[in-house]
Amino acid sequence: MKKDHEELMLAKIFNELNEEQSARFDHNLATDDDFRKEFELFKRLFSNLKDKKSMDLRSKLDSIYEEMYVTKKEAKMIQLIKRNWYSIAAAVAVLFMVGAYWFTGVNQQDWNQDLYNKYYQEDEVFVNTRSVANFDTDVLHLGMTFLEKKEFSAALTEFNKLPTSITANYYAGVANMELDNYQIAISKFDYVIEDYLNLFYDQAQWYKGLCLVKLEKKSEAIELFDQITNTESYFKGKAKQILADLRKN
Amino acid sequence: MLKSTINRVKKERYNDDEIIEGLKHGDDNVLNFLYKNYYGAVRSLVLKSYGTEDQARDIFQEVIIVIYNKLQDSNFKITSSFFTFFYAVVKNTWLDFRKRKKTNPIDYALDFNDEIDVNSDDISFLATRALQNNLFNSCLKQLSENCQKILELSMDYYSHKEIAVKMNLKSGAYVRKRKSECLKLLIEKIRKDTLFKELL
Repeated sequence: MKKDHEELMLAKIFNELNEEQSARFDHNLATDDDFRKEFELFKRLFSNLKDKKSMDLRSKLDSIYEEMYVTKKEAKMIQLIKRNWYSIAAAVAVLFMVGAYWFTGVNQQDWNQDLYNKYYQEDEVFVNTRSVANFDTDVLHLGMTFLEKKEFSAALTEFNKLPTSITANYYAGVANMELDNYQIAISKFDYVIEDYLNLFYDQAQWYKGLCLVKLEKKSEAIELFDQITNTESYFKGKAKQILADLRKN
Repeated sequence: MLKSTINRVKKERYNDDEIIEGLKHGDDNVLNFLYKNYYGAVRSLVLKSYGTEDQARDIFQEVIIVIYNKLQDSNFKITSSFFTFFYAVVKNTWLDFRKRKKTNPIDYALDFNDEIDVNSDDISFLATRALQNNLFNSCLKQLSENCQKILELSMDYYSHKEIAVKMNLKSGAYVRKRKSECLKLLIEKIRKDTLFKELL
């Protein structure tokens, strides 16, 4: 884009064109497609500056974010520091006891339970009230509402109504894990994993791995976590950690 | 049907009509509710597909703002649930962002709308708007506060002299010079962003 064109566009946006420039601007707009496209985009982009209401809304959202997330993080940090003295003493005591426990080898039978508890975190579920929807989304919504309330069996009843839905299978897997039905959970996650092109792929792989840990299928778990570490999965880092832990056991 | 005052009272839950009405008026309680209840979903989506916390926050905010603007149009109606609509715009904006930034080709094949019933023209329009806002605001944020203020006032057609008075700056000539520098910098940043060419 010529420098002169850019100046014309900006002058137009800021309402600063003189008569001669105005004529040149109109000519370019009528005859030059690239000029027109670029002007439309710049006009749209710069309209952000003029839109006071949106700017107010943006600053409100910024404040909410700061209040909700940044302040919370800082508060947690302060709390952590305050607790530090007690924590150090407690940590030393715990480390000593764990060390002794490991040393005697008594923990071998619980390796899977410990690892599972360490790495398992329930997936976030959120729902809201709805007005219009179709059958599938209604069922999913109802299932997720039950899941959110930790009514896992009721959630499963809903998810099982959609045997071919990736989303329903994924959440059915999560609900089954909560109900200690790890083998069934694996079959649900397998359904999700079969299709690489879906949003739940990474989570399904990770949770399947944790189910294998829980079922004491150590070599299968290692194989799966190994696979995860060789991809760009969101759980790559965690998979590396759990692999290290698994190999210690 | 609904009075905007309904949303002035802080509630634990809002139904769709209350959310729409509250958002239309930029009601603080509804915005808080949306952050509290919907941001997690956006964050989760973005982080799970290799985005960053900042990107999640940007996408969330831009989508809220484009929907807010769209709601000012009395002809605009959301035919699905608000969440379905909101999430569809978020997904499309995020997918579009990643596609345009060419970060992960695998995502291209995803069809995010397969389970929802929404007007895809609206979704795609709003997703593009959210990306445009995101591009502009992320570049604008990199400028000094003074630069941002000068551009903002210039856009409101204040003269250079008036801006100098308002901002307690040396002179109109100084404002003219600063404005030109700020614009140059802003345009440079916008042009450098890979999104710019993609949005053309």
